[in-house]
Amino acid sequence: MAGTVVAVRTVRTPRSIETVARVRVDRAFKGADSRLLTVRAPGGLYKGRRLVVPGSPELIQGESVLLFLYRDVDSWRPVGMFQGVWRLDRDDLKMARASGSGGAVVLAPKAGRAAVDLRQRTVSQLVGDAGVTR
Amino acid sequence: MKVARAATLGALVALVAVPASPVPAYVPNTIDFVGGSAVVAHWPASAFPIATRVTRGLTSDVPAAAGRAALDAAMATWSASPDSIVEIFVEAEQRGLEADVLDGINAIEFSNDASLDNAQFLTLSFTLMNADGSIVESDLLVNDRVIGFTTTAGNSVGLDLETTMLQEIGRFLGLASSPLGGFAADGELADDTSVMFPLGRGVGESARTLRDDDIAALAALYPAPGSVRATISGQVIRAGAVVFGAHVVAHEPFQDILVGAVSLPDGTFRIGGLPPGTYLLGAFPLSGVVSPAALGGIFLRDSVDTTFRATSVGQTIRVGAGQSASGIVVEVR
Repeated sequence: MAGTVVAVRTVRTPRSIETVARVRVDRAFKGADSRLLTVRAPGGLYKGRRLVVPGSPELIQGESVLLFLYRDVDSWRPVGMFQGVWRLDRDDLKMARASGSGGAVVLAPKAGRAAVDLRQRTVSQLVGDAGVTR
Repeated sequence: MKVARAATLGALVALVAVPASPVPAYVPNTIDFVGGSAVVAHWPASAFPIATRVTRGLTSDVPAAAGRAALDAAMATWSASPDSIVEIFVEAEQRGLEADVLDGINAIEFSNDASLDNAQFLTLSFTLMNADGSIVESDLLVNDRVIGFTTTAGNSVGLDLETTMLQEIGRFLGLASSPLGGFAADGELADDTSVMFPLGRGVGESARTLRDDDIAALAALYPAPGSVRATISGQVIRAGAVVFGAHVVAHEPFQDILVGAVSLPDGTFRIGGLPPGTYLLGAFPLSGVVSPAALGGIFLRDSVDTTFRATSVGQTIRVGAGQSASGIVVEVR
């Protein structure tokens, strides 16, 4: 889905610290009929201490994002952690950029197709690359 | 030694016209950049030796004694790294151990919980730290539902437990992924890929040993008293502007040493923990599996420049024991 991060907070769970984001769905490619989703990722800043979890994505309030998510109990989580989170160009939602350039790891095909510069892929192309169908 | 390598490393070798050499580049877990200084994850010196606990019996894939021996060996390898005060050990095996990041226990949990069947990870490391980067607690959760471990080096069926633990203990100690690794012609990781390369290393005895880059990391982060390691520092510039996220590699061709660092938001870099020698420098954009996001921390941001050309510095830099060479300008295009 493509959407906007409207709120972010860090919470303490029984065993850990997690970042919880509320994401407004602007466009759903598969599933996710809700208008507003709760997306969780491990780590975050809590009471002056930071929990760092390598591979965990940043979810920043106000950013437009393209998310590949899987269901986890009462919320959603990015597939492959940072690999499931793409920032979108705010001025032109047709253009997608990876968070960093990490998407190359996820979407570069294992065989048969040439690698491409995923930072220059459109949203539709990214979704197609990932094999997402309704 | 395998000769086909990652593009960046191959480029450096070509630039300095020497044979292929051991792989490179350590990166401390850099969580912030404040007032011109990097905030890096680190254990306070008083934390050593670091005591850990591990799930009793570890993984169901191998006999308990063999699994424990593999973990102990991985910790011993880091503890034996020269010129550093690092020491880490298992103080106890514990039934029902949980990787709870807030319990004050440095836990290595092997979980066989069915809920992990669809989990999106093989291992997760958790590092809790203060604002200055000083580590309070570190935990590791190993998804024992999906990984098939082996303790037999060279066994192509399973993932070598000691090799896996070697990299994870590196994270425990505050290291992020290393930007360079090498691929051989057969598509497998080259034998000389550094321990902290983000992809799992192959199996085999050689995969169970630290490389110069890993050793330099500990010598720089946790120097032993009297250490005489050297430092090279400077700034990466592109058309008059600073370059964030350039991978700067120092190569000592006579001793076949290769160590690197990644430039900060102000373009500065600092390669510490170097053995004395005469070095050549090269700067490379992050690419391939070592993306900025794979490094994490401040490198998650989009302002990392990955578009410049690989560049060599046209001068040799000699650093003696305990010396520093500073003010090196690396201009890229």
